Amino acid sequence: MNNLKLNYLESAFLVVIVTITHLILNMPNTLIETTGSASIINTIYVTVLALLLFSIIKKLLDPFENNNIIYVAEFLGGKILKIIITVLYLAHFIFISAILLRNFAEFLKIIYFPQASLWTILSAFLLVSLIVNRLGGKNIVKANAILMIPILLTIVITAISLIGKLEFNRVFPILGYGFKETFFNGATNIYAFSGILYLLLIKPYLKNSKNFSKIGYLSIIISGIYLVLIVSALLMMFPYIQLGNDTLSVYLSTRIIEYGKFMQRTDAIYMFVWIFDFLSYLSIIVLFITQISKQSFNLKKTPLYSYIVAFIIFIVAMLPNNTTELEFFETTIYKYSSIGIVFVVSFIVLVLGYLKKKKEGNKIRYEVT
Amino acid sequence: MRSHKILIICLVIVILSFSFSNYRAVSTIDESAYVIAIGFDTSQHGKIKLSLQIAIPSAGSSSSSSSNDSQSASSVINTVECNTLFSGINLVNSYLSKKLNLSYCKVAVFSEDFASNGIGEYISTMINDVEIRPTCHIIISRCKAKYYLENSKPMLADISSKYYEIEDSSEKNTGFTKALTILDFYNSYYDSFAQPYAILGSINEANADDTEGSQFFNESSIHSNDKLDNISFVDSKSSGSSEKSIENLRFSCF
Repeated sequence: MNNLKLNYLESAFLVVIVTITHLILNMPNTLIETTGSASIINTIYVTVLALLLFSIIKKLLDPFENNNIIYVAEFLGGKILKIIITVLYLAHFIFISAILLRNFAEFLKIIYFPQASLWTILSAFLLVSLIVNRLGGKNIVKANAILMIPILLTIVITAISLIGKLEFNRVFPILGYGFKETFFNGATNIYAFSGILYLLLIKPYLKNSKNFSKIGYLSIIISGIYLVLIVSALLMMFPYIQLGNDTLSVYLSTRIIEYGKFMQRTDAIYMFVWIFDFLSYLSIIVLFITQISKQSFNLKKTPLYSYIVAFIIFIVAMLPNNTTELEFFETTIYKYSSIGIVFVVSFIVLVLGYLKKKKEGNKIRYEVT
Repeated sequence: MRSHKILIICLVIVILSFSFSNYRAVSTIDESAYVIAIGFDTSQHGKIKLSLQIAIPSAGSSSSSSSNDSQSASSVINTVECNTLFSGINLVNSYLSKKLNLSYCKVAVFSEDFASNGIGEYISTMINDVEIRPTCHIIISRCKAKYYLENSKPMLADISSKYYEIEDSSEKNTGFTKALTILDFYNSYYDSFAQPYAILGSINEANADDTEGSQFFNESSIHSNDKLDNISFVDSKSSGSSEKSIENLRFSCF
């Protein structure tokens, strides 16, 4: 990745793919379950919060020029803090990729491959991500940028196709479970923008680091628009989502889309595109895991390391005993670990790093004068 | 480097071929029996008398006038007594040589008697099943569901599933009813501002095959407490002048 230089759109889509992949899986359900009929307002609210947070993050990263949060951690607390932050990030990446992989594999097994064993579906995905990683980071990022077009299109088409079936009365009461639930407890829905984590890491790999703020704002705005689009469509389509008794609602919505009598059961087309989305997401995660480790541990044999990473993801993905455990991991542990790592730990490291940098800057200036 | 690539390619081929292409994973049309309609009646012994109308593909493809005579020309109706929908399906699977597939189920018929006890749990089961499409129509039959299915005669169509699809959406031409699906019903069930309703179907007695099961249920027998249970018919029985046997002309409100 040291040779890897990302342009404006490629970098923005790296963040967008995270939100979109979670969007296709269970994230809208969790968002709607938390705030009920106020989900649309809440999604707009957390998008604004994410934009504000990013503007602060950008400000805090500015003094470090082309460096990312791993460097800031090293600057702040030496190698020990650098390793602690790296391990924390690695654990987070492995955990979320494993849980999402398991969820998606379970879903594919139920819908399309009831006779296939789970491990074969998991292996198929991990093998593809390993092979793609062998081809190099630049290829992954470019492929991701190309794939984003059909992926984003499928979601727009899904939302448009549902328009005739939506019931606008379902957005009422407009504040859902109340003001406090929507704006205080609902603020935890900011985990939907956990893709910001990639923004904290991506800076050294940008062709032009001046684009960093543009990339951040663009990716958050695109993610926000798609979140609002899907949450609105699902809220107005399925009243029972608010009760939290359903899964994979975006897929469910594709099952009811019909284009006349001849174009029915189009869900398979959507699934086909989303499989590529998931492959791209998994490849990017493996790439990031490898590159962070490379930066922190001075790894030489990255291909061998990526095999080990894939194996660990496979093991973690097999850990949940049943879908109830899996749902708990996805809706609760993932939500709070994302908030903790992305919006608390990283933020504290950045603030302290920024203060230290400022202090040192002042000290140097003082010595000079 | 080259050996690595070859190894990876071989691994991919082996895993993909073993996982997705083995004989167990493939379910061909010969191994499946396609259910085109499900009927729910009350039973004296069990909870449900489940009627499954299963298509006979070869019969459906051969167009002949005999299809007018009886529904049995292109399909067969199997009835079992069971506690739940899936226990009934498993029961039929146990003696049928083929696996029942609900992907092409076009209509779910509940007898009025059965519906008066509440159908929320059955609709929930159906909506959560991956095979049954949310676009499957829902009919409350004023006669027994099995009798309704037996008398659903494709007059101008050869394929029963197609017939059900067109029959239930004939509202576009008449406006007498609405093509309501199990998703519509399920959504209304959970909505705070709507009540669930379904297509009301009945058999035109003049053209019915036999009189057994054709007696209409006494409306005064309908009683219950919850949201799903209070059935009241919006309209009264029609004159019965239609040439076809089934009539989907009104709504049943819950």
